[in-house]
Amino acid sequence: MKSFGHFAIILIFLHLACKPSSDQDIALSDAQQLSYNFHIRPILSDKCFACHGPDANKREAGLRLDVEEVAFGALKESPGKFGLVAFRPDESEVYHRISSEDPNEMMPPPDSNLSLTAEEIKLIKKWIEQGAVYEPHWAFVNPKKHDLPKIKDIEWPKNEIDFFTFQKMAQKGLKPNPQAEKSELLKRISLDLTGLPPSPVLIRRFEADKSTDAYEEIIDELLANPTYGEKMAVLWMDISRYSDSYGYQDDNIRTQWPYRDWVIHAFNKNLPYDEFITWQLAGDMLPNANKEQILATAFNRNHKYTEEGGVIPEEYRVEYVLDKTNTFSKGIMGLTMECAQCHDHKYDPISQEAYYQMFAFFNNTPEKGYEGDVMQSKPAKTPILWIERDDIDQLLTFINHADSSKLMVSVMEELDTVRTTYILDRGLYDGRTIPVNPNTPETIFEFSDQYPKNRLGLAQWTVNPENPLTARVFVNLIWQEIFGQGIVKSTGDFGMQGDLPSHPELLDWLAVDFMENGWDIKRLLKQILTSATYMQSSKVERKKLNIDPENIYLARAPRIRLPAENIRDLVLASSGLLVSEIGGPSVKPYQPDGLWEAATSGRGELKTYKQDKGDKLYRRGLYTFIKLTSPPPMPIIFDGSNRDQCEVSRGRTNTPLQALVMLNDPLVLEASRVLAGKLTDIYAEPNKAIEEAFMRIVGRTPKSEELDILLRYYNEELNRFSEDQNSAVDLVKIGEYPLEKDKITGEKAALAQVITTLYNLEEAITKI
Amino acid sequence: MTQNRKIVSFLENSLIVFNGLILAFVIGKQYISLPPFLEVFGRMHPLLLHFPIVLLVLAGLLFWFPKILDHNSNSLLQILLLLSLFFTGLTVIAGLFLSAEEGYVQEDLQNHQWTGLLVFWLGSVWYLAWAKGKSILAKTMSVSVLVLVLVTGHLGASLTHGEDFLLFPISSKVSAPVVSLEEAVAYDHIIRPILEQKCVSCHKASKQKGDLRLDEVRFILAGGKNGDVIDLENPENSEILQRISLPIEEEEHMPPKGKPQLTETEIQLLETWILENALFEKKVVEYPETSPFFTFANTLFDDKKEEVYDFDFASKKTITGLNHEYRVVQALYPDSPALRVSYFGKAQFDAASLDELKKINIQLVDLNLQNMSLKDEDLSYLSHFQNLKILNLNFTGINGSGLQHVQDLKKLKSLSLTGNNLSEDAVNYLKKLSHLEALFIWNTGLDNKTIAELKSELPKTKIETGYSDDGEIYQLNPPEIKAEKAIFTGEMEINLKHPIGSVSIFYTLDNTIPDSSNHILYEGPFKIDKNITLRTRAFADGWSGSDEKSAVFLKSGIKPDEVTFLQSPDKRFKANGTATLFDLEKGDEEFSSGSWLGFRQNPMEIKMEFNETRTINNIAFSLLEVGASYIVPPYKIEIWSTGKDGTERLIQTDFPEQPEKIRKNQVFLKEYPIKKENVSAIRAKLSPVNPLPKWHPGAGEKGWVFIDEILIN
Amino acid sequence: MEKEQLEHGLNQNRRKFLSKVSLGIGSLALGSLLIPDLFKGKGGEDALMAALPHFAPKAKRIIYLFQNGAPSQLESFDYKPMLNQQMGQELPESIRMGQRLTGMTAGQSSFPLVGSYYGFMQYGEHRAWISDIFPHTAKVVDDICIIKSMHTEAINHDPALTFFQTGAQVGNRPSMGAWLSYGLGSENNNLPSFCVLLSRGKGNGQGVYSKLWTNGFLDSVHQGVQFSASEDPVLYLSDPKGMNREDRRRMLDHLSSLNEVNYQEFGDPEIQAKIQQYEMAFRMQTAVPEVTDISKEPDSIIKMYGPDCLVPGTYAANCLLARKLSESGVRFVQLYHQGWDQHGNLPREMINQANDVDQASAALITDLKQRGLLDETLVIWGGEFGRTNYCQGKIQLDNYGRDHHPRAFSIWMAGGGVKSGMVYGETDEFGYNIVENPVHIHDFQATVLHLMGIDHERLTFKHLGRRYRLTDVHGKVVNDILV
Repeated sequence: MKSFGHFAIILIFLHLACKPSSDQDIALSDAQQLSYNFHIRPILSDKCFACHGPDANKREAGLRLDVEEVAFGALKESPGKFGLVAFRPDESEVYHRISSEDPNEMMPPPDSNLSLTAEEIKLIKKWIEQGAVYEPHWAFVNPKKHDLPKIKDIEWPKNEIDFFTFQKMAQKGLKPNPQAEKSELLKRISLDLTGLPPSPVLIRRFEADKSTDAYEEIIDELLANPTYGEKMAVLWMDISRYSDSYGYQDDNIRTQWPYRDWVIHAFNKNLPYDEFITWQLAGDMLPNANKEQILATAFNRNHKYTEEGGVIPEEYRVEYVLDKTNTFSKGIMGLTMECAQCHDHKYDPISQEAYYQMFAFFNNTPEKGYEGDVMQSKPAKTPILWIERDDIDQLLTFINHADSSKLMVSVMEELDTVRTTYILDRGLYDGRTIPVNPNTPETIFEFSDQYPKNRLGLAQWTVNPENPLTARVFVNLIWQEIFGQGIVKSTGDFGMQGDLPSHPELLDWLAVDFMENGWDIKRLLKQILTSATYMQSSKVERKKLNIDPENIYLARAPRIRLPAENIRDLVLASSGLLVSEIGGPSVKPYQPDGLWEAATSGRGELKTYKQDKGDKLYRRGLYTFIKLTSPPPMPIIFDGSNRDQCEVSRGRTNTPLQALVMLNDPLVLEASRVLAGKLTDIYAEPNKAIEEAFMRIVGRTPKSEELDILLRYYNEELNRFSEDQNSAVDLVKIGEYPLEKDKITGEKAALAQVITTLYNLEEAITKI
Repeated sequence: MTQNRKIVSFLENSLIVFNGLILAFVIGKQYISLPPFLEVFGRMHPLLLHFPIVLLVLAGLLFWFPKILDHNSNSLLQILLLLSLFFTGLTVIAGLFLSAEEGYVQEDLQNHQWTGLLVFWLGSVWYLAWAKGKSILAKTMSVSVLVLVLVTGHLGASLTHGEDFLLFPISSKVSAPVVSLEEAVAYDHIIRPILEQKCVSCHKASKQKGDLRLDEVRFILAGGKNGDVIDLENPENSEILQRISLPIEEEEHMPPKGKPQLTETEIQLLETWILENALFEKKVVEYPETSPFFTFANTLFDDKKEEVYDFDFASKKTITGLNHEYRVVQALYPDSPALRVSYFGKAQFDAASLDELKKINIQLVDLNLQNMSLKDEDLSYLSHFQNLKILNLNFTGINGSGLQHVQDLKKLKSLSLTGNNLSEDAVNYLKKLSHLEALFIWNTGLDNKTIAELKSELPKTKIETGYSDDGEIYQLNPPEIKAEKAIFTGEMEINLKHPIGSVSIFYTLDNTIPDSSNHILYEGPFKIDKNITLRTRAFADGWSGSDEKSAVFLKSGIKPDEVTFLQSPDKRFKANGTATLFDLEKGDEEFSSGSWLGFRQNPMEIKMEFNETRTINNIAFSLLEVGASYIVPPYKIEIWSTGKDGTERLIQTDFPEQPEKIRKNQVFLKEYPIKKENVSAIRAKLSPVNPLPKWHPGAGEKGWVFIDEILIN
Repeated sequence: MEKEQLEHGLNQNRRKFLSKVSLGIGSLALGSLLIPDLFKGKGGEDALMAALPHFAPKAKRIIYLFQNGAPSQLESFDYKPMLNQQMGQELPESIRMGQRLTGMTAGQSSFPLVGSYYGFMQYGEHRAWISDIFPHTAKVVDDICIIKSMHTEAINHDPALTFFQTGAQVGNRPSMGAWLSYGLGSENNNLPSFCVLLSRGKGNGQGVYSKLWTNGFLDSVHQGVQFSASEDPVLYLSDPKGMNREDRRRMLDHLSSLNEVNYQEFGDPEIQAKIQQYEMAFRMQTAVPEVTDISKEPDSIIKMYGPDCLVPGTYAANCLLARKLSESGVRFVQLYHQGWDQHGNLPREMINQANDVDQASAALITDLKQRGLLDETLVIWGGEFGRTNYCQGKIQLDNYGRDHHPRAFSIWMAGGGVKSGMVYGETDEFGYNIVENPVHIHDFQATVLHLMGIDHERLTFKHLGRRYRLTDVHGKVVNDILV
């Protein structure tokens, strides 16, 4: 007990100890010439811009530090004094104030609950001494392909990526890890490209294949596999906040799933990212647009819709347009603009006007704020795309829809007469002030006149190679998918409050290269997966842990817990239960009783959870039915998005509830007994069966040490069941997968227990 | 050498000159009027003063430790002393000039001036004494000079930067008065501290923003360039009130944005004090109890009443050592030495672990042992915790014979014994705990007499006896009906359940209300083999009978081969059309659930045909009543049957009884005998009520008929 | 014997960890549950660490009895005889002052005032008015503080609820419970620090949404854990049939030795964090059933809370469970009771609703009080907004409805540092506008945090470039109601 208390606290302190450094460690030493972007603006932005930044209404003393001219200008309120005086900290009021001890003088003022660290003050002083040179925000500067850095070890790099990462490692005194085991690599790429564990067949084949390009061949093979689209779709479902219900109180069912089928299809046929985006933003406005392109625009209709009686339609219509605007800016532009809907952005140069100019692009649809309550509810809301049988047979072949009934999907459509957009005071639907026209923030990149001032124009602006954000943001997203965190950690915020890129040159290089090669997503993935950086082993040396606890400099491959969907996939695939059907309506697998019933208003089709039967119980996590007001518990427990709004990155926590899921979820127990059944039929001796199970679940052959433990447990359980038949029966009865009663044996039950244990291994649900 | 002497003599002379000058200035200060260039010289005072300070210190150093420099340091010391005195002189003169300018607090200035002068004069004496070899005198002088230098420096700093400049970083911002309520004076102890903290920094001698000073009563009364700060005639107009009450965005708002703001209470205090005529001398207690100012002021003193723990902190190591997942040891709040200990997890509890708490016997003030199983002797562990204030022993299974051990815990304020069967001697021990503020003895088996005694023994203690069953009769909750499904084939078992085991469950199967006279007593699961309406209630002594719970069970019978609507349902409630009516799926009480068909504009009229003729005994319609939603029993039900010959006869016309008020929602069954052989078809027509009766909220409008199942047997 | 066995397992594992401590665990291992996130210096908030709570807390725990659907203040705590006198007369425009209407009454041509169908009486030292359908609440009136001057901006249920619970009408912000879990961590590490209990009345339901107990952008460990009425109070808690505690213990021991093997090879702290979480899960498996077991409650408790408290999933049962969780150190217990949305048929529906909640709510107060826990537990009772003083639809003496009314409504609070037996705030004689001491949602939230020892302006989290607060940029602590 006591010792454990010690342990706990030690943990915490160790934890604290290693924490702060990571946030932004700028040792003055390694900053010979300080950079405004990398050293100074983060401080100003975080601690000063709130009152001395872009927001005109909140600006104090007429001083703004984000604009060079003003910062160097004379101070309105104290004549003769200047905010900044190059090379002269002592004459710069800024330095005077931040270094002052006097609560009446000091900045930030005490009541702001903000304060500068001694380190930060030193930095600003040094920066002023060096002439207080301003730079434009890095993310708003068009990316250039830098030359590859010169590095010592020319043996190590496999492609360009490695030059950049190696350079950083070197700077931090780190060396890359040796290459990972073949089995590890296979598991890694299989999970990264298909979200599924490699089959034993594949493992053996890959082990056997000694040819040099075996690795690349497997990558190509996996990229060609339709499960690739499913893997990628998970990411895009979070961004497009996909769900199967309308949200809000009655939360009735809707059919947006054909859009999901399209996303899978688009990734599989490797639709270039620029088209991928164009279709989703403005597919309906393309010259003689076909139904596929229109279907893609459902992207902007996946958000919540209210069916609560008696709402004020305009209030919600505005709400919907806001959601579209925020989703576009966060998911595709990597900017959080929400703040600007009520007031000028405090940190980024996005005025409230600019926000509503952006808003205007999405404000021109026949969409209604309210189409009646749940009694009038339909599976889609105007504007609607009707999908006939023929469409599916001819053009939309990717839609998995068996019967002949028509499908309806909510999509985008443009009004002929433009609806005037107003700046809304404090973002309130009835707070109309001055009218504005569609436009994009010129600070990012100018909206050329040859673009039409509508969604189509917006799409063209977005995918224009000159646009500094689009490619960077997506490349960064993919990087995050693979390495667990983006080169820019704040995937959804490339603005001034966002994190700075850990490898700026690499980010730019990848972005430009991505565009130069026709926005080819599969190519991008292959590029990363064939880099030496990626192929490192994920062993964690203590030294590296101390220097780089968060693995920002990638001197080791990351070990990442699988996303919720893929944990489910792993259990199904490894046990052979997986029904590898692609697309179609969402399914309702096992779920603890009473969740929907307890929360429902008692109205609508989804008030009770009608669990599916048969094949539908064994579909991939991607297809689990998402009711917004009561999302499936397992994904939520494993940090899945609740799809309430656009999410670009998930947390990765580690909680007791997760342990409980893996221990007691009927799916896991069912999978265990099914697999146990299969294996006992094939293998006479338990250790063979266990090895096979281990191979299927963990993706490698067990060490003898491990096998011993597992065998010991197997025998313990076997004895237990030989004495106590009923327990054995109870344990294998779980799940609806047919089971031959007569074939229940202690062996099967014991093996099932062992397999459950395997599923609970940290390594099983981790990409190593 | 000679050069050296030159300097010395020059300095010595200037020393004399300065002495003269200074004396003159001091005496004739008020007559001096300075030409601009001398003002400039005066303003160099803040610059000059650094020289003498440094030099004097050096001189002192060399004077006391001549050996610092290995060779004889006399000549050096001489020069140093003279030089420092020279600059002291300059500084003093500059200071005198500067002081001739306006805008300084006089006595602050005076002090600074005189100490400054003393530095110079005593310094001179020091030099003389040293030169004449009078070492004792020299030594004393040196010391006093050095001390004076510091004093002068501080006074000077205060003059320009404000009184608390030097100590501000360490002086805590006290808002609670330093005196007791009784002696507190409204202005001195309540108002002035506020002004000093939040206003004076800009409104004082050295920094008179708006020509206003708030550092002294007379200046406050004098007001500033915008007139009276406090308007004694009509206080509500006082400038200061206007300013502090403005929203912070306003230019005029005081204190200016960015400066430390007034807190809620501070504002309230200022306002009430001024509105109550800004009496500077009045004592707080002299204000009437009802006066707002008094009430606010009083709260300040409340804070001071809060317990302060003066004992030492326990070491972090100890605390963390004592912490584990079944015992949480934490400070009452950060930076409080007092500790609270809570135990969790009955199964893991071990009374002996209380002994480990000895390590924090001083700091432990709150101990929570509820639901842990204790023996009375275990209470002996508690006797160490002399600062224990709150002790929770709820449901620990003690009988209190061990309470003697808590007797000596003089700090104990609150003791919870809820849920323990207390013995005789427990009560006796309790009687001695006169220092208790609160005692919780609900559910401790003590009778009213004993409690009464206890109360009289412990007049100062709030004794909480908690809920007592006042014999009020509450209603039972209805039983639960458990059955596999609502529609069954063959026969089905039915279970009735009630959360309180001891109740008796009555039920009926003939659609009558079960009560004491009319019921079947439930003695275990029973089987049914036909359509029934089950109604059940629970009864028990000490309780009033429960509401009824009812359910309809249908026996699935003959499914017609051909079913057609002659008049079809409302398009919003058509479920799966005729299929729904024979899907053997019972709808719940939710009419919009999609398992109900609704009819309003037209009757429900349906034809059910059989490929070969059948013998039909009866037909049943499962219907819904939701009065509030206009869903009521049909106004009329008609049934026709067609025989072999193909001729159709009306065999049933019924007018179901209608409710007189909005009743509890219910699913109910309308069953009719047919008793015919060779039936080839049946036609049924259920007509909605039209119009709804007077009493109904929708009176005059059409009613609804809702149906989810038809059963033919 | 079971105990030793478990201890053995625990110790065995613990010895293993200790051998590794030197390597340091940089993950959520215990951090998440043992101490507040703030202590992990999240979002650069290290500054806050030392400062939480910011001062001596009055309350240690909260039980929030949320009355979902908005109970009418005019039939509960805000007595307005004027409305009975002027029954059927038009609401003067001078009073309405352009208050916006929901789509449900927007079409209505007239707004006839309607008075309470139920009688009112005065109770307690402060002679507070309480309607006849809350007899039990009336009995504890001297222990509660009734606030009659609550107001909000939202006029529909979803935004109003979301506003109350997360401080914003829209968006995916953390709920109050998540904020507290984040700020104060858990008292008992073997239970979730934020628990959610749901029940439904007979009245018109409005649904609840997991969004109301979401962790938003905070770690998912701060998410409210929804207890269910089924055998598994916490999802996936109970082991499958055929596996008892010893079996589970053995399994976990094997599991952790396997993970150890892997740790030896990879040295990733996350692996040990994982082992930790399994131990915590194991403890939770004993702790939760221990708490949720009501079989040992004395009979008088059943009478206090009413017999329904034995029926899982009822409001009464949830109140009892709430007390048990709270006394076992759960920081925030959130109840939702549906069915208070009386747009019509109010006289009949509202009394049913009251019957569902009145006795158990009062019992909870008494129960906490008699255990000496009321002083350290804050209990809150109330809905998301109020109801109009005029009738929705057809007006009748015994049958009328009320629409949503954000401008003025009543809630009550008890214990945990709130003045008892107090009535705060006042509305005009029409019960339409507040005339004294308005309390905005943000003020309410600020006050609740204050009672827990937290300065609402300093409990912040930096997310996507912005510091978020439960009270956004508003909120003033209502000092008048503090002890």
